[in-house]
Amino acid sequence: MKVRAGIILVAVCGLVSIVRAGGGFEKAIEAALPRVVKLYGLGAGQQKGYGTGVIISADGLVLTVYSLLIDADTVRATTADGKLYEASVVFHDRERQLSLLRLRGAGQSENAEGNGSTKEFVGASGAEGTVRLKPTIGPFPYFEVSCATPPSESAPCGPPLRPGDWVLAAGNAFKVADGPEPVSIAHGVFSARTRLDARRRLRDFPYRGDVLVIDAITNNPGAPGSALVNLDGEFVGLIGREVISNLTFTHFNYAIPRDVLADFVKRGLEAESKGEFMAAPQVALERHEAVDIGIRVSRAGYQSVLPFVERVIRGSPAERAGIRKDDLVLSINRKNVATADEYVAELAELAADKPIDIVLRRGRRIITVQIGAPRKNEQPTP
Amino acid sequence: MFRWGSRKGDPKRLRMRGCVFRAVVSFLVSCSAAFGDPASRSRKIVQEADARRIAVVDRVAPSVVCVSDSLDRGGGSGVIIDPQGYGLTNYHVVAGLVEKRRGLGGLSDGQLYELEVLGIDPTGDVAMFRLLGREMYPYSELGDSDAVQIGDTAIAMGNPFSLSEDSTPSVSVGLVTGTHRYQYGVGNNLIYSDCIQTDAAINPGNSGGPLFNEAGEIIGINGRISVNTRGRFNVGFGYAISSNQIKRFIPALRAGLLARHGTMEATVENRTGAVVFNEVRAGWAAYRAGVARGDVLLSLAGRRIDSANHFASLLGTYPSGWTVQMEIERAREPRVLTFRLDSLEPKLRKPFTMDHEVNQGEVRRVLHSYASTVTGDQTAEPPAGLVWSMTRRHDAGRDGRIVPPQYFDASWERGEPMRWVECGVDSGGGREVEFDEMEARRFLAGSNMPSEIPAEERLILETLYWAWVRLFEPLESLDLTEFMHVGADRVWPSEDGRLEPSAAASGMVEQISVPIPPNGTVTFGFEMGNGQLGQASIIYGPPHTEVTLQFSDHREIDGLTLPTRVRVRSGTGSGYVDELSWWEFSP
Repeated sequence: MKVRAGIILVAVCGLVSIVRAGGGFEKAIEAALPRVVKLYGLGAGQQKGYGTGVIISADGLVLTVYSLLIDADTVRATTADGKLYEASVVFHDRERQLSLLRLRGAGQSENAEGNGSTKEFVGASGAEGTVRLKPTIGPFPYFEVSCATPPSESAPCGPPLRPGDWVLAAGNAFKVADGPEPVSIAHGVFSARTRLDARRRLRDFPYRGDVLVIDAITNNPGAPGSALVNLDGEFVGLIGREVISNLTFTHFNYAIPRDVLADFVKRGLEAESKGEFMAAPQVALERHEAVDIGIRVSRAGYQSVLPFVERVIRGSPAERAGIRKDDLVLSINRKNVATADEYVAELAELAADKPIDIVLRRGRRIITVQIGAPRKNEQPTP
Repeated sequence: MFRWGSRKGDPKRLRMRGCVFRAVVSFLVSCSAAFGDPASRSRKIVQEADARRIAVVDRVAPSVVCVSDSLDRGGGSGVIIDPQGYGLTNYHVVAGLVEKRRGLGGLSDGQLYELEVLGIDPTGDVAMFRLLGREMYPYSELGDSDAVQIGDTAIAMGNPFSLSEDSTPSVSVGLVTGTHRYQYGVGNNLIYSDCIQTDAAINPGNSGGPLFNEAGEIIGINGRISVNTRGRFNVGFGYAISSNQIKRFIPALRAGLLARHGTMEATVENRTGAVVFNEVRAGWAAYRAGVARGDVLLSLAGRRIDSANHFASLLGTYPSGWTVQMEIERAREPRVLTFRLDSLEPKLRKPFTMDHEVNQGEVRRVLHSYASTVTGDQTAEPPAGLVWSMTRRHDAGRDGRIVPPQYFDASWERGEPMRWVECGVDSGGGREVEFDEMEARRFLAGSNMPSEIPAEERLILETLYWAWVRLFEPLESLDLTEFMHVGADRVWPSEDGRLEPSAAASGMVEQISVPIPPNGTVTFGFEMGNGQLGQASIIYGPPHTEVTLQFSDHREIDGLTLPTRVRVRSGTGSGYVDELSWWEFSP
């Protein structure tokens, strides 16, 4: 009898540990998964035609990053229940690299043919005097981003985050999920709130505001625009675009904090209510084609060989810079290249409109040359 | 079962007492945690979780294997799943060892063991090996991968980057970050169907190693990662082949076979609110079962299908020849189709040859386990004769007519021909057929039977005949080299619940087949776990014809445990199921 009483009591107290049993992220996962959409749009080169967005209002406002993806004629969004919507751009901000979209359409199941009648304009919610032309879609589950009072550095809006707090990112990185499948999650800790000195390939990343640094790996294709939540499932930030730190050259895992997002959304909605609808932004198509400076390095099948210059194309920037046959390429823009493959890979990362510094070894001498404004190459460098 | 120590002192009660003691302690601990201040409470929770995880890692680490070709070459990982040293790894880890069948397996005790490659599953990227040189090995259990949920703790172990020099596995911990994922393969190889996604770090060398749940059960075999342009290493996206898929292939892999996955050669597409067949290849499984373009797919193997991806993902987890049930809708009329899957051919650089000795070992193991199930602990004589009475019930829905049940008696005495009596509707007696080996073989050769018995009945008779002459002979008198272990099949699903096999826990049988010249094969299926006879089927052709008898309700009669019911299905091509129920039998 005593034993039985003990077991019952254990069962009651055991509840505490049952709640913690499954990794402890249940609340965060439950909150994040239904509030994230899979985005499909324009892609080119290394920029993939898919991404992630976060629903921030019951009538279907979606927050995501500013990228080529949303430059498509029709951006499509799949909600967590597998329904497919069209998304149009409400507002975007090049400096903060953010975009605000609005879901439209009837919420078809995936791959459904678009229905012309549902493409009509749907008025903004909340703005006084706006007439709803069509019944609103939704209601969608959403994250609140707005702040009650204007945020300041000492009192940012949203739940406080301390370094070491667990965070969870939810988004469709690598396009693993399809249709109604739940998006991927990634977990880690919040490391610091700081400013970012970073670039995307060779371009400086324009955003100079605060970011949340995290140790979950979120610098992956498709992840930008993912929701970042704390253990209680509260929205704390939006995973930003893939960037490389200018200081450490590492791929940086970070999120744009909620107060920055709140300010952006506020401006976006103001613009929308004033009728300042924006056409799809003209996001400059980033050029990723390999540049050709006119050097051919020696390569032998699959073996890795030293990047000796085998041939210099006549009239090429390389020739003009004085590069000769049998020079050994040591570095490109301060990055060492040890093999011919590395040389090709490094060259492929270069933007076409910036000068390139190359260090060479000729005999026993070290030579530094600068090549200006290389031409774009239609064919990849061999 | 291995028993250690004596039975004195009732270990069960001792264990009970230990449990109660531990329960009381943990109750006191958790209660004091619950009522302490929040900071110390959460510290306590974290410490307890850490302690649990460390204990699990300590427990399972000895079962993790560092798989390599030779001492100085990098390799992959693996995990032992039974005390005899059978283990799992990725096909791509041992692909280079398949020809010589030998490699090295290092355990956390620092010892290197010879590793023998057994069966391979190139489509599912799984392979089985056996470690040699020891009586007993530490092993881990396979868990239920369908119970895994997003957010569960996942523990990956193995030998990434060949870091370990003494074969101690590396451990990485993360969450399950996706379930039921589908990752395309290369042609018919390396397809990750219904796999588990994790953010526990998976790196080169982790391939073939286990993904454990919090309880230390194997929920998957790690083998694949998504990579960024940065290189081939962890970016938080690892994929593990689900344990439930692997379980269906283990019998074939143990038997040293080239395991093949199932296909029905039909594709579906997502349409508004429905998943619809858009291509059905003539002559293949879905076509033969009666699927047509435009049919709506509702469910497969008991699971509702909500996307084309889901269909491909689920289908990819079943072996070739596996029986699936599919629910479709045509003109708003739902239909249930039951059929066997066709075979998806993996691509191999060199043809795979089965190791006959390995296969024979499995045949002997299965038949011995069957024999001891029938006779119990004593070595009872096999029955000298058997009589079964059967009732045949027609499937009323098939042609709309209601046909009254028919009754049959089948009897057999050792050394005598089998007798088959149609008793008529009122058990009044009727046609009577004698059936011996000569007849049986003549029948398979395609010549006419000595009576007007309908083809279906003849096949049943034939299957019964071979079941009797093969399985009620003493094992010693059988020529086991005729038999071959051919992997697993599924115990036929019961529609009325009445004929559910007694050991339906796994729902699987291990199949031993024996060719009956000139063009027939009889396959016996023994229930996984208890070795009872679960199925007997005869397949012959062309054209492909099949009858399967499903046995159930095993009872002890005169010291022998034998089935007392059977259900028959025939005509796989048309997908229809005929039913016979069989009771009573007198040895």
